[in-house]
Amino acid sequence: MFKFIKNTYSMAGSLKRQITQGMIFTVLKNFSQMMVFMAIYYAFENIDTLNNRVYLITALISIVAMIFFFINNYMLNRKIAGIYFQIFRNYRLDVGGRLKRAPMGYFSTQNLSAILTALTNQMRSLENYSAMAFDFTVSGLSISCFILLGIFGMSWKIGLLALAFIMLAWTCIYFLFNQAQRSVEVEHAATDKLSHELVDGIRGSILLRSFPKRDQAISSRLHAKTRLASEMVNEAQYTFEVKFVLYSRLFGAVLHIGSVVIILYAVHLYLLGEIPLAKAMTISAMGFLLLQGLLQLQNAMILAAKMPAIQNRLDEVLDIPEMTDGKQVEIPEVANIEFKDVNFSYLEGQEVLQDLSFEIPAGSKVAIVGPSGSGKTTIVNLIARFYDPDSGEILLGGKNLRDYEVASLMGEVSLVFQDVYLFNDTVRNNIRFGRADATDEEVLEAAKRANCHDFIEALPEGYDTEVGEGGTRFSGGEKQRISIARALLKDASIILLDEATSSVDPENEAEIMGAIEELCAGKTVISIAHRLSTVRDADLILVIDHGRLVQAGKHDELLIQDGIYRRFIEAREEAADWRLA
Amino acid sequence: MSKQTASRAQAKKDARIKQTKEEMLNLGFEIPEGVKKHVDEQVASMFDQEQASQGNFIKRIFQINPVGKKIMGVSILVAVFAELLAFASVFFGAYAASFIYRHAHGEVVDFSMLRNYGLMALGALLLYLCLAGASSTLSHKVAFQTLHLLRIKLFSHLQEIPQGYLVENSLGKVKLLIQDRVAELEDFIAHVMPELPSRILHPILSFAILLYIDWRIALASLVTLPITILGMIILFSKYQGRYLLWNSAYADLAEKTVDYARGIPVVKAFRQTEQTFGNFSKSTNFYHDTTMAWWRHSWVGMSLVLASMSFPLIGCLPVALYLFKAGAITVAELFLSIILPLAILPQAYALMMSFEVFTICAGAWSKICELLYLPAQVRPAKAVSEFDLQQGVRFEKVSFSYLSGQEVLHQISFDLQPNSLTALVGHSGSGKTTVARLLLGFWDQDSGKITIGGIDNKLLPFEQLMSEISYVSQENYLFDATIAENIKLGKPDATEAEVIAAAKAAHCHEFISAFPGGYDTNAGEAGGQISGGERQRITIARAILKPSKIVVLDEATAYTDPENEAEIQKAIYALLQDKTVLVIAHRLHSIVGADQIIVMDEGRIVGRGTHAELIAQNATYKKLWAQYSGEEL
Repeated sequence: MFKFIKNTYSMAGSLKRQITQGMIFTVLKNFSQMMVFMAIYYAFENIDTLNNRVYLITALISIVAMIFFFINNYMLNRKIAGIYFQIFRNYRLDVGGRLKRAPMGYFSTQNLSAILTALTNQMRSLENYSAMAFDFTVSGLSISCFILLGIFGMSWKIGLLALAFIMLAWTCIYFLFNQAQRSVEVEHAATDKLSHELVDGIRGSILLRSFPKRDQAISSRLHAKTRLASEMVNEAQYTFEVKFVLYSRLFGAVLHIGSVVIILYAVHLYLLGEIPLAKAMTISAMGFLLLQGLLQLQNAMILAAKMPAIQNRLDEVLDIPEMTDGKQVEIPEVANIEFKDVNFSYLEGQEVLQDLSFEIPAGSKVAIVGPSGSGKTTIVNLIARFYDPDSGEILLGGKNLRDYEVASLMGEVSLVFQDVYLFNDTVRNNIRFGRADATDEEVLEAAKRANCHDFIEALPEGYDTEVGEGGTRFSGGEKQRISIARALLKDASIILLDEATSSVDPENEAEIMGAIEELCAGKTVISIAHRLSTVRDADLILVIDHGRLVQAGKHDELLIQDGIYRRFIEAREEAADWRLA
Repeated sequence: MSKQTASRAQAKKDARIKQTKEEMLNLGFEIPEGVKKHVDEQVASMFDQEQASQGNFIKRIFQINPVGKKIMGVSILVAVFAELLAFASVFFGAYAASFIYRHAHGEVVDFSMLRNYGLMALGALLLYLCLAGASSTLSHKVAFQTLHLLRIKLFSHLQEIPQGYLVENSLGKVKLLIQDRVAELEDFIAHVMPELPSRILHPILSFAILLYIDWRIALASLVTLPITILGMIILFSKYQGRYLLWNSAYADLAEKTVDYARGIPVVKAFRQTEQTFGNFSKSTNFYHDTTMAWWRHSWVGMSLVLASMSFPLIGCLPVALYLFKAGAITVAELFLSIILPLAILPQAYALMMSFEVFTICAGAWSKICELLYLPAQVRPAKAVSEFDLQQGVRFEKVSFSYLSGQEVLHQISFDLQPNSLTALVGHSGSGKTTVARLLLGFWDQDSGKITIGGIDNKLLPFEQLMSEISYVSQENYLFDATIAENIKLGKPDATEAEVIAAAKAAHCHEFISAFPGGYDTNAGEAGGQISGGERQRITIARAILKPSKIVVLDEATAYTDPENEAEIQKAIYALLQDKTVLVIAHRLHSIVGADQIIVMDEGRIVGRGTHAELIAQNATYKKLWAQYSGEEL
């Protein structure tokens, strides 16, 4: 709970003063609420000499208190609610910046969806409810203090009693907050599991419709899994609520009992003559103020309890690594690529690439072949500096990749992979993304060379058609061609290509291949090859197996050798000739 | 609802939408294009939610949990009763005040009586807390249970509605509905609804007691009401317009965030980081500005409301003192007049919040209802014995539109002769996949007839249809069961020999045997070690084992794994022998030997015949071939 305030301070940066001001306003606001017992005390003091003046003064004190409350509540909102929106605005921009500098390889689907949830849903909750949590904490403390002071001011003995009750009440809150932390985590785990099981369950149960219902075993097991995941969420939520109710009722119990006991004790002391009438009666009333003042916080309690936990989770997810940037801006246009004893693994102990060494002369066409999982994609990723090798060097034009500025490097490399991301913008702007200063004619020219001009023109709004989120408007093959047009504008000197790309849309394979050929003309091309024509025409073929280079050379040389390559060629030839009937 | 009332309601709704939009535009903000794009969607959902009322919602949601409804009712009654007990401490306080006062004015008073009342009050309070706690626990239990049952209901309902729903709505979207939308109901059902009655009761009772003491005091407690009303007017002025702007700004921010994060790899590749980052930061800043404006505006109103509600004593205290002096009320009543008004605020505030919470709930509920009340696909229960495969399959003037209304097939007619192979060709979007899916019963056609084995497909029980037809697609999901069980799904009483034969035909026997557990390896757990191409072959083995004589094949299946393309192709070939086959073709050269090729374009059939016939005479087919082989026309 106090950590929450501490966090707020550390996130606030230059806004720290504002937070402190907010705190002061909160305390003043609570003070105004306490002003009523001044009015009450004044009334009880004059209970035997009531006259118009007394009525007026009590009314006046309350009115002043109300105005004071209004001003302070307004100011406190301005400072504090404003703070959180600013804090999270800055947090968003900061994360956005860090994303820019993260290694390319960081953007796996898993990471991405966690980051997106954090940046959208979770941040929104925090923005909206953090102010409430802040108010809760600060108000709770200041109300308790004021009441205590007031009571102490009238009778130190009762003051001590009140102190005991207040401390007991805060102990309940303390346990509650601890509980909340753990429960939020349990709830999150259950929710994640449910998410996974739902997707699995839906997919599986739909598939099951295709089969005779005679096999109940698999069906009931599938349903049971989904059911169980949902029940776990149910249980996690219910468990938290029960604990919350327990502590919250205990909290209420302490306050209610406290007010009764305080009254009894006040009367007792009054009978002993230790405190006068007015004080005794005021203290009795104050017992209720204590009650109401703190009970008010109950509304915000459950939310306030969850905020710190969500905040923690957010910080974990958004702890994005940064890649060290090189200094060199200039990339030689004619550059060799060289791997020197490169070793790499995604996870500790699972070597993906081992002692890899080869050289690719500038302008040559290189094909990488090998069984799935052999490391072909990893090689291509390393050339694009998605990650850095664990050991060994990757050189471009004689210099280590790390020495180049990442932005410059990316400027000289074009990636043609299976998943294409188009921005939620017009087709024209998406293509122009390749080179911001391209003219409309150049955009059209690139589209023609990439064999997509025709289908774009055929659209109702042509090049000004909106692409839809991620490009959902278009088929896989059409997206591919748009992205190739984009790459054509960029005109990078190194092309990294995954040939499986063209299988995305078998009908338009010829068009896509044509576009790719346009792109590759005159460049250094490194492709993960599947087509016979590619390997036959390649200047160099690298055969990778289990992360090692096992064969290298041209098509004719390798065909004679008895090895993976020959088997690969035979399989491709068979596949190419396939007839269904 | 009659047509007239419906159209009048629609006109009213449109007018309000227009008004809200205008309100928003008059706020003095320069609204970015991206945000404007979301306005229509946001405003529509704002006014859709208004249709649902709290009562209606409660009624419908408890249809899922009728037992829970009764328990909730009991829980609420207990809470209400408990609330009455809460007044014990207040009355005790009043008695104590009177006690002190009377003693101070010379009366004889008995402390032990006070102490006994104190103990009684404590007892009542403890009872109150136990009952309130029990009630709260019960209602929460019911609430969460209801949410759970709703999730399960939605999940099982998915299996009763046309399968095509999942073609039109992505898996991710459906999952979001079942998990996230249902979660949005939680606040209202679990927190607001159970506690609302007791929250309302407390201030009402307090007010009633004040009235009983003296109507003038009750009236005096309302003296700050004008300020409250002023506050609310300010709060709600142009509320709709501001709310619309805020929501649209958030929708834009969410979209730009996704775009930015997903697009980062691309952005980095094209060195456009500054520009897209610029878009992202612009929308972040705009959202911040509209949020601040939205909240800033509400602070004045909110502060007025809170301030006026926190100080009822402005009126009560002087009036009560005056009445006390005049002898109209006792000391105890005076004390009550001081304490009771203080109870009114927290509850009233909670009441206000409940409306806001319900808005979110209503929005989620209307989306959930779209799925929940989607009609199930109706088919007879008893198997039809006259099913005769020799009659083949016939489509007669079949037209079809998606659930969303878009018409995609027009007057489709063709025959599938038994034991023949028919290929559907055409551009993506021509409707070929939809035709195949209609045969599989993914949806019901709008008009026209589909006859399978001589029987109208609407008269065939779904189970029977699925036992007569196999669907081989790119879906390579394997169940959490052994590989053998996965293969046997097509024929649960198959022998081990049959399973192995099917696996051999599908070219997967070798790699399965290579697993340590062989055929008994759990496909779900070993999932990570089985590659995509291997999974595909296992699903083909399953299809081979299944004794259906009709096969619908999506040819793209063969290309999912370039490494193993040849193997998969051989497996598919084995599957197709001696069957009636409908192929959704992509690679034209693979189907040149088909018995019948049907050419589709924009949802219509534009040619049919053998390859030789079509390549000579059919313009569309010729164009397809030219594109496919990369030749210039």
